[in-house]
Amino acid sequence: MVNLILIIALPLLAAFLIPLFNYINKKLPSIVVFLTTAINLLIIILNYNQIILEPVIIELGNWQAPFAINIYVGTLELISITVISIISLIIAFYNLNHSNFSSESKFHTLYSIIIAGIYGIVMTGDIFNLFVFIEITTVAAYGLTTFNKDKGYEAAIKYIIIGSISSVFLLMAIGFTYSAVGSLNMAVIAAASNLINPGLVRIISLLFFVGIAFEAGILPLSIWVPDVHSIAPSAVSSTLSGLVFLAGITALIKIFFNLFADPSLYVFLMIIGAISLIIGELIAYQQDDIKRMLAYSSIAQMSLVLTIISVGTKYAISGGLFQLFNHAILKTLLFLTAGLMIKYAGSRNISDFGGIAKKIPLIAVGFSVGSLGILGVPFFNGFVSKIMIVNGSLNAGEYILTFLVLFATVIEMAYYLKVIQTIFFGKISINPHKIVKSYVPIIVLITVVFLLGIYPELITKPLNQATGELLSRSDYISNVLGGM
Amino acid sequence: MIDFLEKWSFFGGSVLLILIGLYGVITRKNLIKIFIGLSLMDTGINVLLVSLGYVEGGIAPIITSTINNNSYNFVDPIPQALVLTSIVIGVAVLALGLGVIIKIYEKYNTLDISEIRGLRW
Amino acid sequence: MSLFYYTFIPIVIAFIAYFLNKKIKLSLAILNSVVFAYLFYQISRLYNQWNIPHETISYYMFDREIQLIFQLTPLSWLFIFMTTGAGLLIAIFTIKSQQEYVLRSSFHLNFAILIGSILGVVLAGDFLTLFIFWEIMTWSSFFLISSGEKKAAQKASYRYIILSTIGAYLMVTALFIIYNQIHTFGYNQVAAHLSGLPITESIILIIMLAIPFIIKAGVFPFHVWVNGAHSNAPKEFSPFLSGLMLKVGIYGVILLLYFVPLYNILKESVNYRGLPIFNYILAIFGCITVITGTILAIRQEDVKRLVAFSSISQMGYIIMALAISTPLGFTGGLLHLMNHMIFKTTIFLSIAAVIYRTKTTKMSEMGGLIFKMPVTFTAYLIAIIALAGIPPTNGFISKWVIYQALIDKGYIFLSVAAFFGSIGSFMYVFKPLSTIFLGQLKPEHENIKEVPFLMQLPMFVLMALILLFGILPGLQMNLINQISQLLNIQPVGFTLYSITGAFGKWNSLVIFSLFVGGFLLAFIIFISAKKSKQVGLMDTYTSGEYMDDPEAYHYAYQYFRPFDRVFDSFAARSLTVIYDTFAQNIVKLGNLFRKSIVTGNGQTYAFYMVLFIVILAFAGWII
Repeated sequence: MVNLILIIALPLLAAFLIPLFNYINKKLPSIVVFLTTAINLLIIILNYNQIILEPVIIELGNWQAPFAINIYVGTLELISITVISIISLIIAFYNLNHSNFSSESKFHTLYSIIIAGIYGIVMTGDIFNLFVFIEITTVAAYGLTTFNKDKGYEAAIKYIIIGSISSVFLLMAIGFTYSAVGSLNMAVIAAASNLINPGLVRIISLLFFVGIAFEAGILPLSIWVPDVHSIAPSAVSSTLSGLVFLAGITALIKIFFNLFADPSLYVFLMIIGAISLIIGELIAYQQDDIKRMLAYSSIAQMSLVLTIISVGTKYAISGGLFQLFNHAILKTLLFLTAGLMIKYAGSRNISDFGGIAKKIPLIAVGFSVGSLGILGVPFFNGFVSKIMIVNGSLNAGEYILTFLVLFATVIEMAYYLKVIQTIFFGKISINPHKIVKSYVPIIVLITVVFLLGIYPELITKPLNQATGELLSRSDYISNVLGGM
Repeated sequence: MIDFLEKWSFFGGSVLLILIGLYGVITRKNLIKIFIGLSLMDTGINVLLVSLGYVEGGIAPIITSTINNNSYNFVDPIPQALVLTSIVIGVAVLALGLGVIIKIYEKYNTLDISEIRGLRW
Repeated sequence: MSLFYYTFIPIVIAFIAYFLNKKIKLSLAILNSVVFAYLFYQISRLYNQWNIPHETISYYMFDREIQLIFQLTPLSWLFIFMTTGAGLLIAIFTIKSQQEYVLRSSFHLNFAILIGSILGVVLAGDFLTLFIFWEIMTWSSFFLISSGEKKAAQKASYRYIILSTIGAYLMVTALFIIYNQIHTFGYNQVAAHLSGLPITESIILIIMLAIPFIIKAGVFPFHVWVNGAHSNAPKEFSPFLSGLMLKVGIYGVILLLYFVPLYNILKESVNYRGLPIFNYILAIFGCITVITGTILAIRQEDVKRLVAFSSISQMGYIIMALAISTPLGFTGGLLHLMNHMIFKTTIFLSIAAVIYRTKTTKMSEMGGLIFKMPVTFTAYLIAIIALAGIPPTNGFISKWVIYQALIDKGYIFLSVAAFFGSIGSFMYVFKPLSTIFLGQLKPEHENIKEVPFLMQLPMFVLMALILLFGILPGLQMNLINQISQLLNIQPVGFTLYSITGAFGKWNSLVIFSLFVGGFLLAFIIFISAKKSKQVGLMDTYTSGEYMDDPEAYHYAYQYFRPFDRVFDSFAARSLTVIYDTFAQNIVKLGNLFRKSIVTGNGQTYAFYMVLFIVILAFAGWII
């Protein structure tokens, strides 16, 4: 058993050492990031069997639970960090060949910080620590956004304004919670949440929602997403869309299932998610800029996950979570391949990608595998999650929700197929630019997509366990607080 | 009345500060003024956090030579620790934001946020 | 060989071959032909082995293992036999025909996946398996249609996939509503559950289950995708699309109505003129499909569009026959299904051969190919004789049985529609015949040769089948009666060359000898008669006017104008417009959101945030 705190600490350490490494060799930073992500994956694999049996709680500074900041890794967190580590490793591998920025070491520093922040958001068991990690992630993301010298600053400034306002709300929520409970530990808050004035709980939960949902891809709070995702380098877009959203949703789930499990709030989440889903899909259909389209699609997918999870039944939650992890894998694939296609065609517009598949077939195939996965074609991973979502929402008797979800998928199909048809069957109309073709990440991601599509039990079995843990708050509380 | 003020002035004042900041953010067009608004909001939330941990008649939670045995007289130290963190983060974001504003001014020659709309739709 | 492998062999081989294709040109087409031939051989050996045990594959979903069931019945045997047979013929055809086609490798990959998935759909023993392969089938056919060479192929395939997906989602919704009650997808269990529900509820669920099949079959309110898809698909795929893909929709209808027997549930509902209302509406839709398809086919200038509309109208016949659910109707429907597959594949293949040589689909740009491409011409001629329903071809027999069934039940309107469609089909099939093959040769087609032998071979086989089944319908009837027995339908009496209808017997041997005699007589007259005089093609009388557009004066252009004029107002009222308007309104709504919400102003975004909190707070979150 290796201490899990390492997986947060290592990237942070790497981040601050990278400027030093950069003096030694310009190539070293990317290798360091690659190594740290690889070590993280190794640590998680070593711990996997133990955590799947029972949740691991790490108390920092050897203080007992309510007093110390703790790190809680249950099954949900385990799956999340596994997915995060795999994807961050793939992206780090991609960066080995593709970080042709003038300020390379800065990029890798920020990338390491963002990875550390994401791990932190997922694993922390302390609400103030959650705030800190969210801020770490967003500040690093602000920095990464500005790497595009063209419109990056504009995107960054919008991101910063919205991010700062939400951080104020989040901090306000934390302050109120602390004043009501007297502790920042999630388990303590969860145990005491029945004792707090219910009116206050509702205020706090609203503030929490606003503070976190801006990082989780829910309209209108995440209206910055298309700007940032379309501007940032594709490695960053895929991290932001795949991993940061995953972390954001995981944090929201923790707040609304572990902290304040008030079923009367779920209906709000469901309505917000459904509206955001439809609007996101409708706007995505309008886009001609491929990365903007993918960004709106991410918004829609996250809203879908939120709305399904807020149904609150076992089947619905596990379906939503599966969709969340699928989305992380697929969006990474989509953003990486879209980024390569953009570089190859020298344009961001879908209409300029005509017949690109004949020139760079594997990249085009990667993109279409990603899209077909999101659309839920059988034997792609999206199929099982979509079936599970339909089953979950119907099982709970949410017929209107089912209709909306499927309607949204039809719109989604419309715009993804537009791209696929253009890249495969369109007239060849590109003047190719030279690109570094890195096939390994694409092939690995495609393999993962099919692996999860054909053997969904790899993830659905742990997911069912995670859902069970989410729905039994008392276990969570007693796990953390022990006999208290 | 005095009693009421004493009890609620920190709380009310800090919330007022946040609202003023928010008002500034959503009405001023100038980016610098927007960031002043954001900074006001930050200050407001910091004051709010400290005021939440305030104990009536308490003293600073610092161990001095004249140790007071009545430990309940200390104000709660945790919010103060939180505020320190939050101030640091706030400053970092503010610095980054101002840096970005400088770049924006170089690029767009304006600080009017409604004119910086290259990314839309 | 396990049933499961029938679906997976083509798919797996296709992927392997796809990567080989870079090295060896045409390897895919040959490999596909070999694989399909092997499957065809294996499947033909399966005949009469109806008691092969079910096979299951477990697939972990939700929180349990779900069994995907594969089973073989006479009904599914018929379809897998037809699928691999048609696939084999088309694969042989493509070896030569696709030499200049750029998207060749993707065509073959998708084609093999399509064949595998259709086998999966048909062999499926429960609804989930059916749905999974149904989806794969939809997607692979989508890619096949998209890979058409025309620009419109993309729009057509788009319409196809959206419509299919809406259908599939209706089906999946219904399935999971049922699944949540009984926790199984088995055909029998679903049927048993549906019969226990209140009648309206079960009818709604049945309709939801049936719509994807009806969409795929191209029946009236959902026929809008058919003509675009058929006419724009690659010329080698159109035969399969029309010959088999539409039939898979019919398979679904048979599955629901007879195999699952949901007909028994429907019988409990409101009956109208001796038919459950659902069936009656289906029959009416079939009848509308016949009329619409016929009228629109006659108007077309593009030969593939014309045949596509003809497919629509022929599907109407089959649906009509199946919906009236008498033994005779069922037999007629199945017969017509097989026969339509044979002759429509022939028509599309012969047209593909013509396109291969002339590179155009406009009828007014062709003419006089009869002596240049005699085999193609003969194939087309025999196939249209079958399509028009003239003895001694197979098309006549199936239409004859359908008429008998309709008249027997006394559905005058349906019978009139069927006759109308039959007469209309004379008109529209004659148009390509006279304009492509007869008439005068275009100067630019002077050097055209007959297509290579590998392309002629499938046409020969199909021609032989048309005549064989025209003379010996008993071969088909044997299998159909086995299916009828399986589905508890009264078998129709038959011998090798005769079928017993409602009003008597049809003896095809006698008719065949009569026709052979008549044909010989006509041939002798033709030989002994004076030869016709050759006139230049553009030698048109124009009253001294300057001819700026000779095409418009070509006799093939607006061939049946007087007839068309009668139906002009009918043709203008297109369903497509309704669907398109609906889609456009959704797009407009999206545009409105985009323009009004995502303004690009960071301050507005901040304002949204505040507004969002205020609205949520006052909408009940806090207050």
